[in-house]
Amino acid sequence: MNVPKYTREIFERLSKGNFICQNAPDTFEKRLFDICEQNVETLEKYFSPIGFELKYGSGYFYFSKELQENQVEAKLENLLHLLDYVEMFLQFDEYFTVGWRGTPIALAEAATDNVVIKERIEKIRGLSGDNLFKRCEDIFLKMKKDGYMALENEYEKRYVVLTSYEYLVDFFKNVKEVEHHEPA
Amino acid sequence: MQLTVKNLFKTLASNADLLDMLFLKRESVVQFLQAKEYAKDGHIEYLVENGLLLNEATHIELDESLLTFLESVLGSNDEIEIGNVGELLSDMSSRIALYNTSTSFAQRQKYMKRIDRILKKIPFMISKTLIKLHQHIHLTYKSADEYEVKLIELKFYKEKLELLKEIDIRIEESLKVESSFFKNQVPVVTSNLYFGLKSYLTQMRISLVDLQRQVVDYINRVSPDVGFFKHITHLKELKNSYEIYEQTNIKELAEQASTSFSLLPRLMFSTQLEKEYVYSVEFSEHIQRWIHKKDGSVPTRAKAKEIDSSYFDDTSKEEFFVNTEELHLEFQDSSQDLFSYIMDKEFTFEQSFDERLSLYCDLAGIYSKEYYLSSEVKTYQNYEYLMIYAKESR
Repeated sequence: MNVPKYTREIFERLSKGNFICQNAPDTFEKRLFDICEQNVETLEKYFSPIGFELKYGSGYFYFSKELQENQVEAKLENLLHLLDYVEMFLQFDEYFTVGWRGTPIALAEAATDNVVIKERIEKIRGLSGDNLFKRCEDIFLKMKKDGYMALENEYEKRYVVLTSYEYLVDFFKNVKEVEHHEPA
Repeated sequence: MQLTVKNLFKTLASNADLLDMLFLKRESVVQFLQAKEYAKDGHIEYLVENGLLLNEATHIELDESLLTFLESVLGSNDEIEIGNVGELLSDMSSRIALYNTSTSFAQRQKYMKRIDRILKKIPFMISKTLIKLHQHIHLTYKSADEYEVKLIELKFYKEKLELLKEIDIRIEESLKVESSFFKNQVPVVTSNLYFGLKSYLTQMRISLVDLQRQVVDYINRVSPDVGFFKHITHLKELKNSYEIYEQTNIKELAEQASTSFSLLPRLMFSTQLEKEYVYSVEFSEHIQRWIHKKDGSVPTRAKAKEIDSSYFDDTSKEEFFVNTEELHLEFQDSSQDLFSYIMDKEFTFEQSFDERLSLYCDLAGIYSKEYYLSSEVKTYQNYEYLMIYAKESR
């Protein structure tokens, strides 16, 4: 099978749990996105036999796998953790979406003035740092580590929301309330 | 009494407080009684009579012509008016036509003066509009509370910008049509105004493109997904009250929806094993555990339903085979030659001559090293055969 150039790099990124995003500040990642987009079928066929399902959404690619029973809990826990982050960012700025740019300093400043944001940040579990700024910095780092943000300007510590954020939006949008019927 | 310029300014000056208050409150309603506090008796009626004020039921306001004059002079008009440029262009064309047909010097001078005014007025109007648009766009984006209002206003300004672009094209076309007039027939002052306007249009296009890019950017940024924000807030509430699993389909969705690797613990795998690791006890134990797990994980297959007897053939068939090895051992104990031995042999089942001949050939081939192949040849029913003996018997 003739696979495109940089298939190894694509595999390395995706298999580590990263997304490949169209609006990534890293130009090489943008290049990889174009390659994925132009060779979707080939790559799908190439990765599928070794158990890696190549999936894509609007402006992003990722590897997916069938869940084993014990992994559902881990996935849910992670999603609920991310729900805290997304809700906090929306409290901070209702325009928080793909392409949004922000810095930990701006978040820390907003949290100083806004008790709701401050309370949200304080209640987020697993953040390191003993002061507000460090915790805000940790939030951005976590979003970056999970592949939903990227550092756009190192000097200003400015981050940008990547297209992969749509994956979370799509998931949460599909979460619907269910009706419970009382037994007759 | 008809107002003269002198009278008009005198009247305006004597009612300055009233007019100032009405101008400042031009966007709100001023009651007649409230206005009376700022004017002497009979003055309001005088101003209404001379068309400087309007008395609508119980409230008082400035007449539109006076209001336009003040806003224009003070530069405080918030309205974006660019429609007049089209009228000015039509006016300019008709004045040029009149200039060309007129024979009176005085008339021609009058037309030229009007053309000069139009050439000065167009860039003045456009730049005023552009500055206002610029201010309004930024102000709306930064200060409008409701995002719907913000969006409607920004779209309105975007349309205005598009209108300005159309006007720019129209001005360009008009100037092109009249280019020979401006290049050959006009005095230097008018010619300078013409080239000045052309140069201004080039600059305006740059500002226009920049402003348009900005307004599009603002429109994109001004559309928050309010529904999603509300939805997330609600999910967060359910999570905080430990009801999210009960009240929503999140668990089913997590099981069904495709799972990004980012949501799972990091996969640890290596495509190349280190040699030292392969020989370690740890690796051996790991393999043992893996084998155990693998065996345990083999799914037990459900029994298939019974196969119908019609699928089976119930006629039995018997087939006999000669054990060549046994035959060979028996032959080694005999003193006969191989051919005679096989021909004389009493088999438990019927063997034809051809089958016996085939056995002779098989044994001679398979065990040739263990037999003595003589050079003596004999004939039996037109078949020539070699005399073969068992080595031991020889």
